[in-house]
Amino acid sequence: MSNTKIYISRNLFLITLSLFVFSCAHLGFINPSSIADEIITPELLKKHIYTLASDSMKGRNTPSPELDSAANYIAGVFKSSGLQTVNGSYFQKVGLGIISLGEDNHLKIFKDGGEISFKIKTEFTPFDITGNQEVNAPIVFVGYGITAPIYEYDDYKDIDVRGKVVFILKHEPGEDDSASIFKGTDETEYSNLSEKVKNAIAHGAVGVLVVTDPLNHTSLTPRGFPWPSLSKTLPKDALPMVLIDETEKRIPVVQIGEEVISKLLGSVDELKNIQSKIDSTLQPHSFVVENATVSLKTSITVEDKSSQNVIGYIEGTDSKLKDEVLVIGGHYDHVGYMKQHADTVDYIFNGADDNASGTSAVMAVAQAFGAITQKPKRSVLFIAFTGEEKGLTGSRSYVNKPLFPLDQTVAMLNIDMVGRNGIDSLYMVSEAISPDLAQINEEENKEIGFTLIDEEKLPGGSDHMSFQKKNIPFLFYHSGLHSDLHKVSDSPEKINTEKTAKAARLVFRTAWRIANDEKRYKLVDSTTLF
Amino acid sequence: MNKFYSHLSLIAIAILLSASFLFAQDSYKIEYKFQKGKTYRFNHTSNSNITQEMMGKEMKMTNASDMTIRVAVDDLTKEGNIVLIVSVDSAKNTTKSPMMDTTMILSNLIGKRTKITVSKLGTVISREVIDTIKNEGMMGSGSQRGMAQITRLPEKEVKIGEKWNSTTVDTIESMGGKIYHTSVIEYTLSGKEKKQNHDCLKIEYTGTTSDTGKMMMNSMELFVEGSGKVKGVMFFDPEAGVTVVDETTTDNEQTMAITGQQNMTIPMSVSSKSTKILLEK
Repeated sequence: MSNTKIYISRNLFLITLSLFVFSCAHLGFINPSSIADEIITPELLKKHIYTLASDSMKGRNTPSPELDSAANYIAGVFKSSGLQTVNGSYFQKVGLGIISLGEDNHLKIFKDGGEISFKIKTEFTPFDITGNQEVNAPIVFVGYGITAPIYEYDDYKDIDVRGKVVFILKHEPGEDDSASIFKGTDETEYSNLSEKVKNAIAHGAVGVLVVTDPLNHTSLTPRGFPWPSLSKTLPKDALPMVLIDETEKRIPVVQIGEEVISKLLGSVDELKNIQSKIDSTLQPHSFVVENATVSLKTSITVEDKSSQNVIGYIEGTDSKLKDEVLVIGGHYDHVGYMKQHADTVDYIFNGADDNASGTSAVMAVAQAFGAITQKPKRSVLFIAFTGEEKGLTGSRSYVNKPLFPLDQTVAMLNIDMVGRNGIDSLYMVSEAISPDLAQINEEENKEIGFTLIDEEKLPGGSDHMSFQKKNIPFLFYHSGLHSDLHKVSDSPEKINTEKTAKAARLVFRTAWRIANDEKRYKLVDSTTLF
Repeated sequence: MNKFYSHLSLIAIAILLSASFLFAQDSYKIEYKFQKGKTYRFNHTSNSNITQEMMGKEMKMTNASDMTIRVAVDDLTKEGNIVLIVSVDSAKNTTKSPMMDTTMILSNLIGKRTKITVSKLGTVISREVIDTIKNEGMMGSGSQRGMAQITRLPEKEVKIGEKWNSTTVDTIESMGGKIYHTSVIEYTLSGKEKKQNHDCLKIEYTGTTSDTGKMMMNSMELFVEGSGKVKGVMFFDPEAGVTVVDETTTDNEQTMAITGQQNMTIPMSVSSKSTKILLEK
């Protein structure tokens, strides 16, 4: 056989083999993981990472035109991979804003025929969750302001606060008591002020006066929120970006100090006595403050800083299971660039590992899902989250306003920083919290070959925490911290794209298993990280 | 009232008056009498409860530190000032929070000297860091200054019950910035008491503190603003001219504000109890 014949013969064989592989893939005969392995390559990851972490993206700060460019790039990848929109868009608005204190705020108490006007900052201070409103109403003391059915505890039991301003203590009963029914000395969600305000609103209250619980805390300074406008030192730039939900009801919420407590109850000691009774009996000691009304006004302004999550959807094929959703996500934002810098120095925080690597892995997994004709039984939602660096705002916004019901969201796979440190190992947060998912992941890893290092917690937190808070089982993929984190030196050339591809392949395999599974998975303790 | 009872009353009043007069006669010139070449060692312990709020979530921490401070008297100047070399022989710090439970030996601090020149009344004339602490951060520079705190003594002789005031502004240079710490303290000479085998004057004090300033951290600007209350009692040996015991309670409300990569405000409440005890002369 001549060399030419060998050449033609070999090429014909390769062409035939390719056609066979192509046909099998489309008929569903080839393992989807094999197709994914073909698609999820270091070269593909490199292309995505170098795009997202390029200097032209200026560090993808939230919000910024460069972050929008990154969002468009991701949406383009989702679209070209055949992923569908949700509600006609690849974007989900995330309402963000900076809240400043307005100028018109007052607190006046009318009691026993007298009127006292209190001073802002030294005697009362509005919180950042306060509303733009003036209320004039009677005052009702409602203990810690907690309604906790699981602990059979309710400060609102047998008292009507509709149309009233409630007066509540911070924290929760038995704060320093290891035997407290409120998880001992650990704080529960019930001690969270925003939960207390929601509870007050749910009971019909029109305003909230908050006081530090005096038995456990020596300082009763009415700090409220540290507004720069009330300070000589704190700059306005320090005001944080927060989630803005225009549909959320806001009422005036202020912290009050010793002067106001004394006016309402006679003394701080009286408040201590009441708190002591509540703590020792775990029974409500709520009451109307006799002969007293309050005039309370707070004002805020909101500077719009809204951004967007990027989403891509694959509808499941099983008539029942398609209503169940697997979320695969990672954040695409970073921290921007240095505004003040010398011309000669690098000033852009490229965020190649944090988290161009994870976002690129999400895109690569989406591309693999898109390339496989045989679609999974369950639906899969890919989300590139905005605002992770601003307090998980993109993922928090999603779970507050999910595109699919959270009780049908079977799992969340979060990929954040998967491009650095040794290629052989990968950190996971899984086993202690989501053991069923951890088992699937470990089984799939046998083909990938990572040494999985399972941690109960990893420093810093990431978007999976928003889902965990809503009792959704999760897996968190992470390649470990390094000295370039949040520095200008977190640049694309330092990324080990072999590792990122390897991590993305593991995510694909685990995701494919979950998306074709029928089981629901366990979440051991939704409060471990809070 | 008959004459007898009347006389008894007068005698009683006279005794009380003479006693108070005699008592009032005791006035004290309180000043530091550090002797050249001598080394004084103090044990300084501090326990703090810290509540920190970030993004609407409160986090509680406790911090306990235990240090042995060495104060070597380097020189007595012709102006009557005292030159002290202050350093740390041992330093341990334990922090407990939901994120960590860590005990550290602060080896970076050990042996690092600060030269302080003070007047006999405790006015700091100059302060010079001899050995810079590597990777110091606030922990290092704060400790380096904290270990060298000198109480201001009264300018005039004082009698029991008398008060004096002190206002000091201390500048802490750290992390590319400065924090200005102002304290306004009122001292009262409240009595005499034996402590650690020393015949001591008991000095009680209360006051307020405030902090303001700016530092840099990872290219972010970090602003600090705070105020607090301080209360304590100090036992001073007037013969030896040295503090034997000093117990202080402080309650501080601080806010840190960060701008740059991250924009946020972090309110903190810090309650601390600290004790300084003379170990030996």
